Amino acid sequence: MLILQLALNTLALAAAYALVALGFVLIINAVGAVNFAHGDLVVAGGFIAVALGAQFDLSGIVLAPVVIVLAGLLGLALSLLAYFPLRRGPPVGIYVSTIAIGVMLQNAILNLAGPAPRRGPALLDSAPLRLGEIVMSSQALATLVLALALMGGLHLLLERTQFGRRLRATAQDPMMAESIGIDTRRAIALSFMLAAGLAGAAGLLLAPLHFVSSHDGAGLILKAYVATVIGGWGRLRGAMLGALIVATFEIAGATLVSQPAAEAALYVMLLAILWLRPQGLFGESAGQRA
Amino acid sequence: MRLPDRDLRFDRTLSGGLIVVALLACLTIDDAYLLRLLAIAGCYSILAIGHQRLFGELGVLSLAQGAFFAVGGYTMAISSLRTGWDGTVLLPLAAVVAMALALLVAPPLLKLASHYFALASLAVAQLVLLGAVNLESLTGGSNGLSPLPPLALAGSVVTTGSALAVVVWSGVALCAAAFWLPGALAALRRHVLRDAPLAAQALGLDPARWRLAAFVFAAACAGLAGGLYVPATGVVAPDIAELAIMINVLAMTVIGGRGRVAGAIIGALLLAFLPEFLRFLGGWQLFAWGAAMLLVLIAAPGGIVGLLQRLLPLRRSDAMDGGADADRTEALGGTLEAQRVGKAFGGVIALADASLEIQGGEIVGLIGANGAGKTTLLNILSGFERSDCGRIFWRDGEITRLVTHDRARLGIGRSFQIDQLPGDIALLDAVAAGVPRAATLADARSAAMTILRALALERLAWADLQALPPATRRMADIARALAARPGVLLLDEPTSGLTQAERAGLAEVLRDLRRRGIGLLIVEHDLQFILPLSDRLICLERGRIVGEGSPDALQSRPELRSFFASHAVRS
Repeated sequence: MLILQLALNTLALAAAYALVALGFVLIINAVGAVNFAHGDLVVAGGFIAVALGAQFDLSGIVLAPVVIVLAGLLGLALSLLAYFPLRRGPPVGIYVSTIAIGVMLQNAILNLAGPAPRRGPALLDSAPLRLGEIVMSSQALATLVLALALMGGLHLLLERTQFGRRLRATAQDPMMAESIGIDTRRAIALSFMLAAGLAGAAGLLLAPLHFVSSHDGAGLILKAYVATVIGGWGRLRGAMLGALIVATFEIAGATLVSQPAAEAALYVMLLAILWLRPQGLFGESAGQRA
Repeated sequence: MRLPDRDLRFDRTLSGGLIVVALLACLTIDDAYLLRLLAIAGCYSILAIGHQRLFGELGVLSLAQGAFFAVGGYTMAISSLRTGWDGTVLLPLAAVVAMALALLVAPPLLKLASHYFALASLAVAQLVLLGAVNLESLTGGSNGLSPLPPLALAGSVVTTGSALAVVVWSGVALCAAAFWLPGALAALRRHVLRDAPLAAQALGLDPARWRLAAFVFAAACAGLAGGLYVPATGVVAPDIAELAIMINVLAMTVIGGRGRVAGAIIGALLLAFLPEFLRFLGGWQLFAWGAAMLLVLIAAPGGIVGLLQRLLPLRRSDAMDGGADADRTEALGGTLEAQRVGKAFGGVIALADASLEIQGGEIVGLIGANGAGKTTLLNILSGFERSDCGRIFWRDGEITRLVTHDRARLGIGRSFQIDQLPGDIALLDAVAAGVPRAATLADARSAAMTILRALALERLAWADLQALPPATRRMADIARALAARPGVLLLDEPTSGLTQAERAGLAEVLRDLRRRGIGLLIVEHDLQFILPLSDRLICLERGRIVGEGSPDALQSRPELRSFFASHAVRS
């Protein structure tokens, strides 16, 4: 039964990582540059949940919309401060500007919440579910359900709505999108909000199961990167599959050896994949795509 | 506009002055705390000088620079504790170990395009941090290692803060000298590699080699900086492997001024001394550095050095008289031959079974509708794409397996449909960057001037490339391709965006190149331009060569009538 519990935990962690990876890829596709503050936005989402949970004594599910909206506003601020002023310059300027925003977020969280890792509010105030012999953590189950719901919503938003078509047209060819009357600035700003909202949701989901601390951003953006490298770029399914592998690696590694060893092995694996199979394990090139 | 020789001279003067002042300060200041800050500023300077080469000049954002610093620091601490060796051995050892790590991780990292490189280098940084915290028997874990033995140099122990600071700042001078050693021409080439990587390859510059050299240089500087930082602070702990150090390096280079030694030194001095005045910020200092970095990026991309240079009157470069005309007429030409090359992109056949030959001193026109495979053929000939099958020969040698920059060095030049010119430099310098085997910038410029004169562009030699009109940029792109002294030149739609008069001028230039023995393959839509110009025409339709011969003969062939008719409408 321990195996089942571990599998559920792995799935829950994978679902949260998939949300991180989706937001990460959304920005790469929208503007052709990495948002290096993405990991810090996840952490910010976690801490917003921690703060709101402590203040209002509400469960995570109830807080989710608020956290997503607040994180989305952070994303908007990020695009206005770090992306739009530099969009005409070389992309490396945007990497540095988003790193600067990430530092500011990280340092602000450190000063406001302190260096100790914090646990976020539980998603549900309910006891573990029992199905005969099997005891399932309602937390992990709720994480999984909420993340899948968000991913489904994102899929519908991008594929089925006019808004989604605008975002995708802008991502594919901004000049063309502009010429058919799409306000690309707006579409890009909304992409940043959407990506940050997903990051915030991921933070909310990670905070109760795994503690969050201010310096987690680097590890989180790397996990998103590993997930996309493994899963191939630009596709929902690829990111989900990659996230599942990362989460399996992490939980199995931490259970069998130790958490730092699992993390180190993950990074070594990343370098090995980049070296031997830059096209990713399941598809497109991870090396040259921009 | 940037002039590499003027920038270099400015950087040398400013940095030289700063280093001398710092050394004098080391000798005269008596305050132990200030001396310690000065030594730390020196270590930061060395660390950032390395980053200037890789990030500042080549635009490659490495997030592992802080990790190499930590590797240098730990190497210094561990080996001084275990061996008690002299600093003259330990300091180079710190640099060498960092370089070795750089070489170890270079194969996966350097293959990657920019932001993926940054992320992969972040993975290296996280690995080093994990090692520092968790390999307790080696690194002392979270507590680090202390107390450490003082630095001994050539047998005598460096006891005073003043002597240590002098040692550190001598290291700064050494690294600055190493930074400047390759000279202004190399700086120019790095600028082109960063701004116009495709053109750089077509000129015979190998981006991988330059990136590797910069990456290893950066790691060596970081290792040395870490090696000096340990005796300067007296301890080593995992905080030197944390991301905060990396952020400091970025802040120093961006705020001080990218690509300049002086930028590194000014940034380092600010980062070491300013916190003394920013105590009121408490824990928010890193926040303030982040904000400052953002502000500089948006408002003053050249950083402090850029601002200083703008304050000085814009003195033109010494070589601006144009340089002597280098009369180097070599035998050009040769035969480029493709045998049955083909290319498919995921099932779509772009080019099938194409064989052709271009001889020295002939103009071959390549025509066909959009998507007929013209650019694919050009890319295969110049090496930007690898053909799936077939072989390519150039001057009796097979080049099928050679990459772009190797082919360029053998004499295969090309222009691009969308011109690939670097921004922010003079036309003359853009051409000079491609002159092979030039020892100095002045040599390269005089060779470039000869080319510009042949194209009647010498009046615009010192004009900013970005300010040139499209027709001139087109000519500039051809001049750039000519700089590498090609035997055969592949031109991709050279007339696009040109007026009728400009087209006539271009035709004259191309005829002149033919007279000089250069073979030309010209992809073109404009039949009125290409028909009278070509000695031979090759017609491409859906990836296949459907006709080849003299323009007149081809036009009278009945089976090609519809081919030409469809083109006549287009042009």
